[in-house]
Amino acid sequence: MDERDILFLIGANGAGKSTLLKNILGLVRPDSGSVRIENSLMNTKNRLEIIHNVGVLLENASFYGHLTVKENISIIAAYYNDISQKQIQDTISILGLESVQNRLASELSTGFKQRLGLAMSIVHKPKIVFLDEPTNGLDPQNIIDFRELIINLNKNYGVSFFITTHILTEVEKLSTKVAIIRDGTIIDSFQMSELNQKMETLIDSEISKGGLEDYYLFKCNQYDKTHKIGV
Amino acid sequence: MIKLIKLEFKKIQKTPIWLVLLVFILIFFYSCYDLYYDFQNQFWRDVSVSQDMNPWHFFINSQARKIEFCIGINILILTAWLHQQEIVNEMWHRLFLFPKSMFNIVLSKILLTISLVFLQLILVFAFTVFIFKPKLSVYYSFLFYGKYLDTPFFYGQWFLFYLPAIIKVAFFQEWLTLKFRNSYLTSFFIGILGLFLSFIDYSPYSMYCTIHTYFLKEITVSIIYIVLFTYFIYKELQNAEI
Repeated sequence: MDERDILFLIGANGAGKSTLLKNILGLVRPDSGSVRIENSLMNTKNRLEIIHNVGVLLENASFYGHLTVKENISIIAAYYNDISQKQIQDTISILGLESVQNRLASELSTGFKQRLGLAMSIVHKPKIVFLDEPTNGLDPQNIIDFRELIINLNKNYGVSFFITTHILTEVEKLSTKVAIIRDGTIIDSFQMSELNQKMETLIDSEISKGGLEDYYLFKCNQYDKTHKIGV
Repeated sequence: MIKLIKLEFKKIQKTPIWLVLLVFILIFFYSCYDLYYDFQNQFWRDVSVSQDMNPWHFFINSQARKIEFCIGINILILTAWLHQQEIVNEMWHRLFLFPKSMFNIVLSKILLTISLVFLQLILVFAFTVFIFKPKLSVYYSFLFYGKYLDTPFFYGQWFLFYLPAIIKVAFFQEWLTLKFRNSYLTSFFIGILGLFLSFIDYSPYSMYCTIHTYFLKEITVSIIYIVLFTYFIYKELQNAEI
């Protein structure tokens, strides 16, 4: 990934998206391979230093339900060094949480809960944010709002995103890069701008005039045939 | 570390944990009050005098078991509560994603537990000394040989006996809670069982709240437990997968 990229990792349920994410974050030890963030090879010694520049929102936004929105963000901010009250208030504004900042987190609607989760992930101004299926359970309006937040953070604040999902319409609207994961293996990765070019190379295929969804299915079928999955 | 302890405090300050702790403070107070009436019984005064014991020692030692049990329960509740805040709110995995060592975060939970329980203990002793001392000294001053309060004894009781014992139980219980983090009831009931068996010398939950002649051995055992379970907690966190 490069700076300001929005990379989508797409794959079916159980393909290994969340596991790969946990591997990258050091929550699960990988069997092999290494993780490099900002040109630093992540290991047990420098993990805490590297994680300082990383924000994370795993599947369901988690927070202390008995505390208010502002208290939740303040608690998270306190784990980092030198985060001012102004920075906390700015985060609240960017995420559009002003109207609910003094409400208990458990009383928020699903959309606001997800915004709070994102606020807690970006309050320390990370360079890259990892989101694990962030739009799961959101209604269409909230999905649109959440998408706009990501675009805003990416364009105006230079935050890169690594997003796992299986909702392909999201990918087409947001991504700069895409990686397809199948059975724990990255079977293809490309710039979103290259998609049409890639589709054209499949000239003999019936799916050559389709979109990302068709390309994804084609690659998965191809992988399954090669590896005799489901045969 | 102080910043982390404050954070842990913030996480629970708006929860009903205070009610639970208050109940146990009331039990302490009731225990003192109960004993006050025991002291009106000539028999206990005679026992104290016949054993040539400072009545304050007698006073404290005779309620030590109740205090031990209440302190133990409070450590169990606080440890489980602090962890449940993370588990119930699904914040446990997030703790691993902060730029702070997980060991330090867990250590701050233990230190908060110890601080709160020790604060309760000071409250109880303050209550005993400042509320009952005047009453006892007025009505039963003959029992106190003119020495109303043995200050070194009280400080010794707090810092030499209770504190190492509280730290020991807190570390042991924290390790249990980490080991069974997805089922806090397991560690809680092991704790309750341990408290009922705390009369066994040198068991993890024994508190030695009474003055013994072999107190150095008891303190040494506490320190060994603390070192051992600090190591176990460290290993548990190293092997933890989310």
